[in-house]
Amino acid sequence: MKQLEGIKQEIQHLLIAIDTSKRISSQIIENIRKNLTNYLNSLSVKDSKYRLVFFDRSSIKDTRTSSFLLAMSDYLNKESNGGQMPDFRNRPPLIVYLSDKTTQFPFFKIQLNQLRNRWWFRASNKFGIAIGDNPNTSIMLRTIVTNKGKILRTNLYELDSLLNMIVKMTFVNKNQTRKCLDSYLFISEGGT
Amino acid sequence: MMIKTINFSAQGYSHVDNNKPCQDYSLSYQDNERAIIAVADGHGGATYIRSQFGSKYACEAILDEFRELDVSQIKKNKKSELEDKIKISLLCRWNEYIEKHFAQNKFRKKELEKLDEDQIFGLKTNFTKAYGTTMAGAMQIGKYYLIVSLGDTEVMGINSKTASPIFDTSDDPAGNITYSLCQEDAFRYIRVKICKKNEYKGILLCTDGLCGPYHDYKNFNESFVKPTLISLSKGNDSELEQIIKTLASRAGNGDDVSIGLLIQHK
Repeated sequence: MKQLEGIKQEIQHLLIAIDTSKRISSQIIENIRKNLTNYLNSLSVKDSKYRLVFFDRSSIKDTRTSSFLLAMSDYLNKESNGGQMPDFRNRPPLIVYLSDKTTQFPFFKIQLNQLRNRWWFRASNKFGIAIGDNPNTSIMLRTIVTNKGKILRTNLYELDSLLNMIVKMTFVNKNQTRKCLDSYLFISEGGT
Repeated sequence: MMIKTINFSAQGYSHVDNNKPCQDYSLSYQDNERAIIAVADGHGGATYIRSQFGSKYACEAILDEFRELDVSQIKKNKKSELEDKIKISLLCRWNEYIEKHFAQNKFRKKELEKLDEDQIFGLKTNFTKAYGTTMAGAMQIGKYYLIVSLGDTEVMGINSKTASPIFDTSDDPAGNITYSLCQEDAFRYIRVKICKKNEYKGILLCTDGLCGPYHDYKNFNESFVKPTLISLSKGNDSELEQIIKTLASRAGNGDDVSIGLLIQHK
């Protein structure tokens, strides 16, 4: 049966955006990447194929929040539209958006709207991690991850363990049962 | 030119493991005048406790609707008016079916025991949600194809051993979100196409349990559509049935698998 040879394993896309200000050094960002990659390798996830993608200063080559959102929006497009996500149903991606910034909404409005229009973004599990004590960071992250996302606050010392926990939870919770489109979704995600 | 219709559905392994029924449904019908195929995929979420009936009634609504249409209606009516008429009629038929089913079978305690209070309240105020499903159907009649679709059930036109989406799916929901017959505004999302028979050599309908494991259209065409059409042209229908069963029982993503095929052959 030739037809069964073309079957691909389901992929869990893990998108980690590290959109931090210059107060957080490139070395720290590199450590976050290393620790998470090592942790994923140490996890027993042989049944799950995953793709870990980092969006940070070095990969985006820009420090503006709008550029991060644009890069994620390009990635979350369907494969037949030039993106990286499957055309057909698959496991919803995990998006973790880390930041210590306080950029205001108008500065990334167009890019955020584009991201919100990606169905794979709407279907994803979203987390915003605010680094530091500034309440404006949480406000910014809430705008990005929408009301459906979770906002967590942490400091640089505990960041690694928090990230590990979120990633581990993704592999434990494999539920991908289908739900119908709720018109309310548009209302809750449409606003800021 | 002869027309051949085939349909198969099989229960996915995750549904077997979780003691869930097969929530897909498919059918095919053929007489001297017309050939019809329909496929529906009942939602798998916790609240859709009767989606196996929803998908069955969706296919039956398509069959009823298509059997009542004749070529003169296609010729006589303005395309957009006929399309709207079909949309409304399909919705009415499906709602009639599920209302009748619900009137005879109220929710039982056992059905609701795994739901939380909010979910039970939601179902009690709007029972149609329990029957949530997608649907797709195609009919060849005279010189025409009539195609309907709602949700993420794939509707593809076959030409020279490749299949391509008939409707523009680039902005369709992805992941585990889909349009559904149980939506209040389902009318907005039902798509209807009436086209000449010579536009496609056949129509392929399938649920995402079948195309999902292939990830993208290109791979689906190369790996599944091409070899299947070659095998069918040799009259090897049982092989397709075997593939559907294997995909559902172990090789796929665990979801139910359904296919409906309508092919013209010499």
